[in-house]
Amino acid sequence: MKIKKYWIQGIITLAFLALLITSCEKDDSCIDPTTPNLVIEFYDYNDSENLKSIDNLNIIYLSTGDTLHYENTDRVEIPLNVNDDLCSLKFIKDTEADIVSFNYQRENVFVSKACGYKTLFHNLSVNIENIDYWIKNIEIINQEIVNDTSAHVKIFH
Amino acid sequence: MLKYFIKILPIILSINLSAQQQDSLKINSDTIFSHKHQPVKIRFGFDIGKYVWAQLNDSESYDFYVDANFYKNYYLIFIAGYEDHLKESSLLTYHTTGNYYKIGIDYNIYENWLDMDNDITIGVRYAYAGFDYLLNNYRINQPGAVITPEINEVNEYFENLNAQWFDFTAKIQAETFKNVYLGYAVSLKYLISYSHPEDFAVLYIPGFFERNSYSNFGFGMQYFISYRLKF
Repeated sequence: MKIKKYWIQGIITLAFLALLITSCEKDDSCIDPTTPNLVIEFYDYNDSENLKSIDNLNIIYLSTGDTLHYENTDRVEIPLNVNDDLCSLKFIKDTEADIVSFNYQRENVFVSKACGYKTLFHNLSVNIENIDYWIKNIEIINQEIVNDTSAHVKIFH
Repeated sequence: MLKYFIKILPIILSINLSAQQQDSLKINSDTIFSHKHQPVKIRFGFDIGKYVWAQLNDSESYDFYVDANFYKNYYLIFIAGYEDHLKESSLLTYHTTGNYYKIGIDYNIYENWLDMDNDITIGVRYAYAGFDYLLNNYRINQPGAVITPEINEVNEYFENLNAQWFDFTAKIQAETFKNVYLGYAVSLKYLISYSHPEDFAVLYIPGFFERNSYSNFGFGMQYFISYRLKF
């Protein structure tokens, strides 16, 4: 068997380079932002510029009964329902409960191979027929939910 | 896809024909060497590894090649393939359907003893693939979702996509039975261009394999079986 020495050396170098290149590649993992959450901030109804935190807050999804629990917070991030254009939530402060329904138009957008698809929410509106207890007013600051950096909704109590 | 095949085929055939003429001229000067009279070697091969793996994964893959020894240790190789590849994951399920063609030159670095006809070759190929995606369904990516995102059946087509790349391949083939060869190849691939479909991305390329979103490099391995014709 005769193979000139430089061929073997060349192949080994190439194989080593190939291994190096493919193993040092950035992993195809999801690093882009995906579906944003609804951001709600709680304000003082009597002093509307100031945040007012809630000691004991439970948020229940009316369609499934799942509950999110928060303690001593003035800001919450809520994952909306991506299967429908509606998300009805019961906000329970200590023992008082108010029901708020959010309506929106969903847009499914392709992100990347590793991340798949995300949902953006447009034309956010809120149904405030059943806020008789602790919630005094609700204001929509941003109708477009495309990221969760700043608040979309203010709740005054 | 058929039109591409028709365009490339006459070019390949004409190269093969002219190569044969060159070889017959060389035979006289070649008698100085201890090689026997070398008939024109043409080999047909089939990638059996890919075929079997695809069958086991709800996919189809047919990869054929033809190579001809046109000058001393140089081979001209032409590869054509068809794939219907299913990719299923928790986020996306889609089919890739398409053809690919590669043309290249391989150099044999192995010198056979007497009657043996094995090779170890290294080569470069230029490859072109034309393909479509059928996006069957997807599930929205919502970290921390309380209401589980449902699977959206969309069955959306992304058509007329293409990609081009270079393949650097090292291949080893051994003659097992008379005129039947078994081979193994490894390739380092480098993408030079690809389509940018609206609202989607190039994820899998027939003939190239999975595409890493952050790199143009790819890697492949093949197990193939081939048969040689002598003229």
